[in-house]
Amino acid sequence: MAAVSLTSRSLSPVASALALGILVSPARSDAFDAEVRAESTASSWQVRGPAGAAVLSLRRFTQTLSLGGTSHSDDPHAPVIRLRARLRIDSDFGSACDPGTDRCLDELNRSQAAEFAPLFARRAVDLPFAFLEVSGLVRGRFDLRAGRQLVIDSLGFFLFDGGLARLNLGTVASVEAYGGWETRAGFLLSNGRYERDGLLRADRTGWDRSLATAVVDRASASVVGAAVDLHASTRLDARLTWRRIWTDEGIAEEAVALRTDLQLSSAVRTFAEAVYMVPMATVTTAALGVEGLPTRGGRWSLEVLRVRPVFDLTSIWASFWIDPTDEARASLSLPLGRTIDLSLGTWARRYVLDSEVTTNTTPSLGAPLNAGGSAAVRVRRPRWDASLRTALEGGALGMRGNADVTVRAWVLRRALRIDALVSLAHVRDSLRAERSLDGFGIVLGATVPIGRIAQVSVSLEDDINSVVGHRVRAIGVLELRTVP
Amino acid sequence: MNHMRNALLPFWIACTLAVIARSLGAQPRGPALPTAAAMDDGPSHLIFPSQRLPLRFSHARHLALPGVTCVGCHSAASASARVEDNLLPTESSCASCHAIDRAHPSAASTAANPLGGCDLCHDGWRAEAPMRVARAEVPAANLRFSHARHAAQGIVCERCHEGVRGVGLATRLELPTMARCVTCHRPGGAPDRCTLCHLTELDGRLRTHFADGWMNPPRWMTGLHHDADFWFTHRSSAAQDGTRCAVCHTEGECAACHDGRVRDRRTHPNDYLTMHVIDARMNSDRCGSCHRASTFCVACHQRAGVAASSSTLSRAFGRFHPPAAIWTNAPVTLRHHGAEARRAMRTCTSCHSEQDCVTCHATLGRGGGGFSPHPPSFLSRCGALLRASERPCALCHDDLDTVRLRCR
Repeated sequence: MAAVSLTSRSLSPVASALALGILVSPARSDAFDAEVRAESTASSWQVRGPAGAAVLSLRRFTQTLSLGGTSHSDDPHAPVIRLRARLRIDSDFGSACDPGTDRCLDELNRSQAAEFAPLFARRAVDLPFAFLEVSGLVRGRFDLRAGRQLVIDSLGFFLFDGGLARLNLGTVASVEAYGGWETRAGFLLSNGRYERDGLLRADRTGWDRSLATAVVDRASASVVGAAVDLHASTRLDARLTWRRIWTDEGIAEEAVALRTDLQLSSAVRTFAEAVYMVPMATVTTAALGVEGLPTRGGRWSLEVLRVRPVFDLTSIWASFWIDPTDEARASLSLPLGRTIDLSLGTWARRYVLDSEVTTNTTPSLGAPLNAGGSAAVRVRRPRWDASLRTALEGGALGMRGNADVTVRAWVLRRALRIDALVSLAHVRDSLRAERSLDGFGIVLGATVPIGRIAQVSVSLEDDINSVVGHRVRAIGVLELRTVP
Repeated sequence: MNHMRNALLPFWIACTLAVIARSLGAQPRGPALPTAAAMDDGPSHLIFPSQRLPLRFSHARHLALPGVTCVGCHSAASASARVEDNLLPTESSCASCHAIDRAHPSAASTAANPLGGCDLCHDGWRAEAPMRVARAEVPAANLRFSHARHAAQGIVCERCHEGVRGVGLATRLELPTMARCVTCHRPGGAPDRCTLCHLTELDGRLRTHFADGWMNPPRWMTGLHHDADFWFTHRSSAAQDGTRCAVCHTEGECAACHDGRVRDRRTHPNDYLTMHVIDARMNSDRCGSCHRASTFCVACHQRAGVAASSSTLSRAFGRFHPPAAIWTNAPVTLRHHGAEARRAMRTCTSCHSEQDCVTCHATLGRGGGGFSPHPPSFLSRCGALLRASERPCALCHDDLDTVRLRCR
């Protein structure tokens, strides 16, 4: 039964996309442009644990393949068909060695599987998205999409296999409904990147369960969702969205979110956002902001935000005592000429550890504060650009400060691009003061375009800090794409 | 069933609001339009690439003459349907007034022939090489545009080429900006879809990458201001209306970063592997916008020997947390694990599984220490959580019937 369910789930995005394509294909298709893009990334790096030992020498190869197609018609009322797919393959190689015993953990050695959790699949192949979309049906009133697709809104990134339909009510509003299965870890061609935090799921077939107690079995989850986008005037944009995810073990998530954007004048806009978790009866995100565009140039903004972390409701974390964090941010952006931008930001963060009534056994911890600021300057010229970004934050949790200078320049008549990055950092952790450190890093990179269809880039990163000493990372990327 | 109906209530309310807004004849959707000229940064160098105009000319002086009109010299303009068309006046159109004498090209302007010398218009002309003049270079705009269609609508030249009547040589500065275009191309007016004028990629997205750089939204499009900090603030724009992002961007662009194929150094500069600890402690929710602690973080922490679930070999390299006297035992201070968990639970899940917490927080009957991790107000809402899923309750509580009774 499990095998049947797995197969049907894996095929569902493809099957539904094909079915939709056959159903809605126009009788006459004038042209269909295809696009292919592939990225091959090889990287090699070393990692030491925070105690300075446990060197991991790792190598990773990542391959992505993106396919796209779009129909074109001379008829302006003809529906547009889009096909989008991306495939990703990750292969990890390397070893973790204990310098004390000269023992190494060969991650590719299945016979030593007992040393590793099942998460470390030898080759992780997944389909980040693959869907077929038909937009503009019934003279622009309907859009349909089927397959593995992303929904991005106030509820965050969400990836699911299924269908989405959108009804466009003129240019004033649109209503969206979707349903299917959440894309979760442990299934074929799936990943758990956008699941709610809380559980580490995997396909534990063939593994000794007693050695991987941190991992739970994969579980298929159904989802339904709906959203209304309101564009009641040129001044108001709003999106109200609702989503429910459930498994055999209960509801994993049910949330409602509202996001509004109100243009008070051509120079001032306000925005507000609230996310409400229904079973927890809790507002988990509340934000209010205002943004201004002075006529003399630049931009300023003020924002206050309260966030309370949320977890998969089928995990124990959703029942734990979790306090919110308040944050106030102000930013100012100024153009210092046609090619130079300056951005300044400041923020204060309050950890509201007295959000609940305290007792003798749970004394008040107050509301510790952290505050910081940042400054960024960017220069953009046709043949080179450069930026400097600094940030400093300090308070009850310690301190963190860094400065990064980036330079990118085209040389040899745009045959070669040189990248360089120099960084300085200081970290002081109030929890473990002995792990405070100063760091210095440098990156050198080069990119060579090969015609209009390919690009090769290499970079070498070298970091030095007082905790882990010297660390080197090398990355090579080959990009290939079709061109118009 | 009631639960489902209650959950759908906001959805139906929103649908009703949408229909009401429509029936009230609300204005169609569009960008917030600019009203102040000062909001305009001048013609874009990406849309109108730099020109080379080695000419001397005065539009002000010519247009002040009786009978001189724009199309008198730019005769091809009113019939042009493509931006690639050369609309500069030809020598023959000048010759209708200027006594240009090609038989004697070395002649400079003189009192006898004040308007006929080559040097009158050709900047840099030299008598030693009279037939060589510098070429004017006016690259085609990176747009779709038809002068003919606009002329047919009766739109006069100065409606777009504002100020040309008062300048000498017309340059890029007399070309229109988008802020000027949208005074007509706006909701309820002329067509206002982006692709009407902007070049597109194969899939219909706007083309944003040109030889001289990347095209960004104009600054008067509030909420889309791609300034130096946009990398860190774009969540707000994306959460509001992904369809506006999709005019220029694909899902692949989101995935390229949010999938973490290659660490982006704009977000995580050098040495981030070491520094991320303090960032995660200060603001773990920001990490959560891209990284799932229960998979992405755990995977690396297990390998590095930091996680409680790391292999026995890699775990033998020292204690990650502060000493037990501070971290585990009473009294509860800011450095106690209870305070840290209440403040930043996500960082806990980047190493720990449920079982690690259940060991102490489960009831005595379940073999734990009986230390309740619930907040004081938990009893008032545990019923809803219990109805959502009994699984987490069953991990710590041996007597679920009692739990159900207390949370009813």
